[in-house]
Amino acid sequence: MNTASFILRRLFLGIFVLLGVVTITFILAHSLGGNPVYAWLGRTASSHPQLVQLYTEKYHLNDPLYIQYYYYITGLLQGNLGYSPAKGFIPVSQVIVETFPYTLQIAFFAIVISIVLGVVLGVVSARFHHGPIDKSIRAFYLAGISSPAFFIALILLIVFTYFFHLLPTGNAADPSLLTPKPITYIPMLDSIIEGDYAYFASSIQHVILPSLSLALGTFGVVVRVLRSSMLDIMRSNYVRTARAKGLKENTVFFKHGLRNAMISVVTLSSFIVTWLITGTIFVENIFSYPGMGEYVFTALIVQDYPGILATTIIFAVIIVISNLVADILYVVVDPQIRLG
Amino acid sequence: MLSPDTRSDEEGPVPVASSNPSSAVRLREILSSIKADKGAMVGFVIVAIFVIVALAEFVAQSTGFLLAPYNPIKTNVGPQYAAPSLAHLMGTDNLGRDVFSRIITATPNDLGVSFTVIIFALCVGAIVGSYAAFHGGILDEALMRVTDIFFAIPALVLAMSIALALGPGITNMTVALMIIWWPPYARLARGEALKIAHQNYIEAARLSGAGRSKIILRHVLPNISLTLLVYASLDIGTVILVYAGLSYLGLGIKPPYPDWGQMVSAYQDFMLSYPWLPFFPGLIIALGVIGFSLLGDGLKNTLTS
Repeated sequence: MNTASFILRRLFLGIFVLLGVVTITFILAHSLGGNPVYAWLGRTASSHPQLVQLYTEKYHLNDPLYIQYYYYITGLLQGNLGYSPAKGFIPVSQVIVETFPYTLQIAFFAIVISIVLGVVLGVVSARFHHGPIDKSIRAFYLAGISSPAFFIALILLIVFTYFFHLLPTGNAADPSLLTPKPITYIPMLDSIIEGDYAYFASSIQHVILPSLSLALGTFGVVVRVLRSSMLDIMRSNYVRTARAKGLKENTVFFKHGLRNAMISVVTLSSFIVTWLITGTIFVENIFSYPGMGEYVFTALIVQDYPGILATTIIFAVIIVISNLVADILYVVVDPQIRLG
Repeated sequence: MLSPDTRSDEEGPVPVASSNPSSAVRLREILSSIKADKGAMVGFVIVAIFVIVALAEFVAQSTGFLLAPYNPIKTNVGPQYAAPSLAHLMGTDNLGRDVFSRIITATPNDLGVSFTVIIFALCVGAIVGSYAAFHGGILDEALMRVTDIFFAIPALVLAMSIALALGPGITNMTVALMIIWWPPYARLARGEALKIAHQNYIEAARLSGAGRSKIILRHVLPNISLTLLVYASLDIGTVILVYAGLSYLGLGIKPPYPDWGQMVSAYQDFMLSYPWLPFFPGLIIALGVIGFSLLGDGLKNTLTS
C-alpha cells in the first residue's frame, strides 16, 4: 500500500468515526424521553411552551426517527448546532467560533511546554537511568500524571497568584486592553499582526498558568515513553556500531539515540490531545479563561444540551484530525513503518 | 484521561509468559517480586490502606456504626474553618464539618465506582473481544469500528453527555462509565486472543470437537486473563480520576453527602483564606491514583520479565 492510499484510507476511517460520534450524540439527544426539545431548551422549556412547539416543528420532531436523523445530519453539515440556552439562545456555532481560539491558545502553549519539559526530562532520565536523578524525575511526573487537572490548577493558582503575586488570573488578557480586530480569529496572533504588543504581553501572562496546569499532567507520558524508547535504542546494534566507530558518547546519544526515539513521541499525540481537551474543562473554569472548556462547564451547570452535544462533536473532530495528522507524520518520519 | 497503555514503561500490550504454573505458586512469585520493588511496595501499601478504609467504612455504613471520628454530614462538630490540628486532622469546613471524616466517608464510593467499572469492563471486554477474534468476519469488523468511535471521544466528555441524559447521581455515573469503559478491553482481548488462536492446544481442543464458546471459556479466557488484569490494575487510577472529574462537575453524589471531587469544587471558593480545604481532598485523589499506578507498574514489570 502506498502512502497516498494509506492516507485516503485513514481519512475514510476518520469520516466513519465522526459519523459514529454524531450518531451517538443523536441517540443521546433522543434518549432523554419524550421531546428532546425539553432537553435542548433546559429549564426554559416549561416557561415558554410556544418555543417548544416552534422547535418541534422546526426540527421535524413529529416525523419518524430516520427522517429526524437525516435532518440532524444535514443541519450539522450546514453548521447548525442548535441554540445555546447558556448564552441567551445565540447559535452554538457562534459560541464555538468565539471561544475556540482561546482554547487553541492554551492548548498550543500546553503542548509546547509538555513536549519541551518531557523531552528534556526524558533525555536526562535516560542518560542517568536508575540513578537518583532518574528516580526524582519519576516521582515528579508520577505526581503530575496522577493529579486531577483541577487540583494542579488550584495549587498553581494559590502559589503563583496569591502567595507570590507573580501572574494574573481571570480573562485571556488584561480586561482594560481592547481585544485586537479579528484577522485570524486567534487574539494572540492578531495582536502580533496588528502590532499591539501590550495585548500580546498581557495575553502571554494570562496563558502561562492554565497551560502549565495542563502540561504538568501530560509531560509525564512524554518522559516515560521517551526514556524507555531511548533505553531500547541505546541497546540496539546500530548504536553499538556507532560506538565501535569511536564516536563520542554524547554524539551517539543525541544523534543516533534521541533522533530515533522522538518517533515514539509522535504516537502520544492522541493521548495528549484527549487529556488537554478534558483538562481545559476544569482549568479554564478555575482561571476564568474564556475558552471552549469554560463554555462546557457553564453549559453543564445550566443543562445546555445543544452546547454539550455540539462540543462533544467538536472534540471528536479535533481528536480524529490529530490522530490523522499523527498517523501521517508517523509514516513520513519513519519509512520503516508498514502501511496497512 | 490517562490511557494505561501509555502510562506504562513499555509500549503495547503485555506479553505474558505462556507457561502456566499453579496459580498459588504464581501469586507467591508476584508477591515476592513486589516486595523487592520499592515503588511497587509503596503502591501496595497505599492501595492496601485505601482498600481497608473503604471496606471498613462500607461495613460501618451498612451497620450504622461510625468509623470516622465525627459525623461527616453533621454541621458544627467543631469551629468553622479550623486549621488542621489533632482534633481535626484536616481542619473543618465552612459549616464546621470535619474534613477528615468526610474524606473517609467518601472512600467506599470512589473506590466502589472504580472497581465496579473495571470489573464490568474486564468481563464484557474479555468475552466480546475473544468472541470477535474467533468469530471473525463482520462481527469482528463491527467491534473494531465501534471501538474506533469510542476512542474518538474523551471518556469524561462522553460520560458527561450520558450523565446529562441519565441525570446526575452515583449510580447513573457508574452506568455511564460502564457503557464507555469496555471498548479498550475488548480490543486488547481481541488482540491477545488472536495471538493464541493458532496455538496447538486450541487446535487440539477444536479437533476434539469443542465448540467455539467452550474453547473461549476453557482455553482462551484463562490464557488472556493475566494480560487483561495487568491492564486493569493500571486502569483503576484512571477511573478514579475520571470519576473525580465528574464528581467535581457536580454529576456525582449530591451534597451534603461527601465525595472527593465534589469536595474540591465546593471548597474551592475558600481556597484563598483556607487553602487546606480544597487541598486535602485533591491530595487524597492524587494519592489513590499514584498508589494504583505504582502497584500496576510493579505488577506489569513482574509479569513481563
